[in-house]
Amino acid sequence: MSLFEFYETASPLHRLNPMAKFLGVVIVMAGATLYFDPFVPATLAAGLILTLWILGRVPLNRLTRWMIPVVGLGLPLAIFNALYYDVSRIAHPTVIGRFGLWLITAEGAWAGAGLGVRVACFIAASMFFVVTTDPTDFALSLIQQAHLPYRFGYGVLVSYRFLPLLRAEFDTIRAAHRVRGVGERAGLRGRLEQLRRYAIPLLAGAIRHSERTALAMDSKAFGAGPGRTYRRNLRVRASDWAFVIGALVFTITVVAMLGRLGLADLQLIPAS
Amino acid sequence: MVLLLGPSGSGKSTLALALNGLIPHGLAVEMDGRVVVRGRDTREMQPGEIAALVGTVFQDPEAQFCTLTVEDEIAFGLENLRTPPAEMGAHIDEALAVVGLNGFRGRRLDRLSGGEKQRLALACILAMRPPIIVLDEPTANLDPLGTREFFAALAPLRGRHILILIEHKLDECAHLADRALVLGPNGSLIADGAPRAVFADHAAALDEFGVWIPQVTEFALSLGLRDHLPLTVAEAAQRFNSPHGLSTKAQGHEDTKKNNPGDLVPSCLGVDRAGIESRSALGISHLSFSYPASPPALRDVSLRIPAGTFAALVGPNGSGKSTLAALAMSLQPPPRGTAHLFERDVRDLSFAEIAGCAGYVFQNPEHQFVADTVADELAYSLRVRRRSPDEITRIVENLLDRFDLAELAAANPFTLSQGQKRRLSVATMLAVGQRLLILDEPTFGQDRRGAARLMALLRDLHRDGATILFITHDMRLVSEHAGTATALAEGRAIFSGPPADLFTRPDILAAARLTLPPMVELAQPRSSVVSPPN
Repeated sequence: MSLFEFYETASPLHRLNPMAKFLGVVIVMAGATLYFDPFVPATLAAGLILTLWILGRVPLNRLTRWMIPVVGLGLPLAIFNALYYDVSRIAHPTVIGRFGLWLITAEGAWAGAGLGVRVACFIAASMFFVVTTDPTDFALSLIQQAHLPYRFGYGVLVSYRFLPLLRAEFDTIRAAHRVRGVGERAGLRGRLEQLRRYAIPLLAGAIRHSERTALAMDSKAFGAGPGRTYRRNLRVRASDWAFVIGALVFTITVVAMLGRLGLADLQLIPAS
Repeated sequence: MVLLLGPSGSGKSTLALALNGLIPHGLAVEMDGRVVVRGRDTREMQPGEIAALVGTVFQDPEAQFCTLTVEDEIAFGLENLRTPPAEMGAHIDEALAVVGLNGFRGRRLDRLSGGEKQRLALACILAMRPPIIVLDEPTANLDPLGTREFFAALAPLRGRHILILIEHKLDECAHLADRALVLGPNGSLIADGAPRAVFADHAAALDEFGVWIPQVTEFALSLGLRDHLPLTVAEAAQRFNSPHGLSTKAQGHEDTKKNNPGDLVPSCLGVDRAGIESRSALGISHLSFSYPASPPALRDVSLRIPAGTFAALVGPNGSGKSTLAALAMSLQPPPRGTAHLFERDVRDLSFAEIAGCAGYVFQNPEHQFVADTVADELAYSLRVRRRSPDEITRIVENLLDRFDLAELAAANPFTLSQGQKRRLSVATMLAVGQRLLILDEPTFGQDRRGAARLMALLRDLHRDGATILFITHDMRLVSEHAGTATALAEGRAIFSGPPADLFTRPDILAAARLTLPPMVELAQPRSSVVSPPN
């Protein structure tokens, strides 16, 4: 399943230089990393999603659909951490209740919620970036702003093209094996065996495909000289700086206000 | 323009890579001898210098692009040659105009058809303005009309560029060439001359090695003609000098006699042989289908294929041919009541039952290989069904023999040649006694000998009572083998009936992006002949 995909539209967020957008998102994620309470990452994530909706002009129904992986990965993590919280570290755990074999404590629920919301915030942040960034612009900005070697930048672009093809290939192989009478097997051993069977034709196809692409690129003089020109040159504009500064101001404001309310739990060195 | 011909594995593509300098510069292989481009040895040139002189269009439209939009893709080569950005726009527009893609500049690559992609691949090379262009089977993935359109874009480039074309579909392009080079099976040059002379003087060798030649040329040779060989339908019509062409008829060979029962398993779905043969093998009724978040792939398709039919399924890429086959095999579950195999709703059948009575040969044989040796590959589905070891040995030996794979029994399927892989993939689909065989472009990428051999095997199976349904772009196969043909266009079945009737319907042919096979065109009154580009 592809989690998020680029949503093509014209919006202030789409027009940003990808590197500036990346920097802004990293600042917000850094805020979420340092705080172990659920409130800071929750507020930061809400800010990201709201910005994506208003400034990114992403329709609400899409946004709702993309919230599934955000919540879907954060929530189970929160529950598991709450259930398996190591109570032995605490002298007097506050027991809220029991759930079968599990002891549910306030400390566990707090830590679980903190972790779950943080992960959800990271996923929301990557959604923010992926949904509003044209892959071609991203590759160009890696080369032109981040000064990565152009071979690497184009590698990113080629793999972006490659993934849907690989997925289609996987579906075809699966169907082809079903016709052979290969049942989809349950159990760990069956699954491993199945994976091995799919892997060989999939890898053979992938290697052949990438070799063909590499030959086609080489035959168009890719990598032949020390440099190349670019039809489009991405620039860093005032709006890009405004976005980075905005992200910084937003993060600091959230942290400061929640800190004042006593809801922020800053841990530079995590306790566990 | 130079044609480079030869059977599969004769080294045509390798030679192409040597011409554009990827051998020895890009690939770590040993090369003896010299390749001289414009008086300079490629070994002494920089890869960038060679790329500016020799451009290459490859076979696979998916694998030769590295960006996401038309203009970025054309700009890619220009950027590599360090063309100033200000000049690129003009180069891009000019190249697109030459290949007939005006107005496509901002399009996304994933929204282009296969034919458009290949013409774009040509535009990418044209924009770099190399004096020499190598084309390695550029139309292999295209539908008949797409092939014709590609050569129409290529024809005017002669004189401006040296074109070196590796191609199997010679009906559309042999007459465009000034010279033909033929490589033999061991990679040595066996003929070099004007195409007409090469086809006449080396007819026996070309036939023996399985090299494709234009169909009308093949026909003239079979009549014993050697001088003034025709290369196109128009030339053939003139050569045979008859106002109404020849009296050859487009014939579907519908063999209804089944007096030679094979010894493959005689029943499926618990119905005996006689019972099976009186049924319809595949019944599709009012089938509509859409993939999630996509326009409908099939719209109200109805189709009946009686048991014992040799049927063809034709139409452009994306018209729903493979989707129809996948639904018939329940690889995608169809709506209840819309797809029947041997008059049983596929939704009522278990997958083992479906796989036991119908085989589906995928376009890429490698996709279906599940075992480490050829013999195990054939035995696989029998072992899954817990047949007795004696029976397995008997059936495997029979199949190895019948498909001429006995010497390769212990080989790994992935190491076989293209033709062998294809034969193995067909054989695996017959092991448990399937009575219906669906094949997705069975002759794709095969040389003339491989294709002829495969079609002969299918004819044998058909004579033994099997039902064959094959998806193809090759109208010659349809005219020579199919008893009935179904044409799909945009998810609708727009024709179903004998191929000879299909060939009299220009409206259907145009809608399904088909062209007439040359021999059928030759048999038609002169006025209706549409000449390929000159």
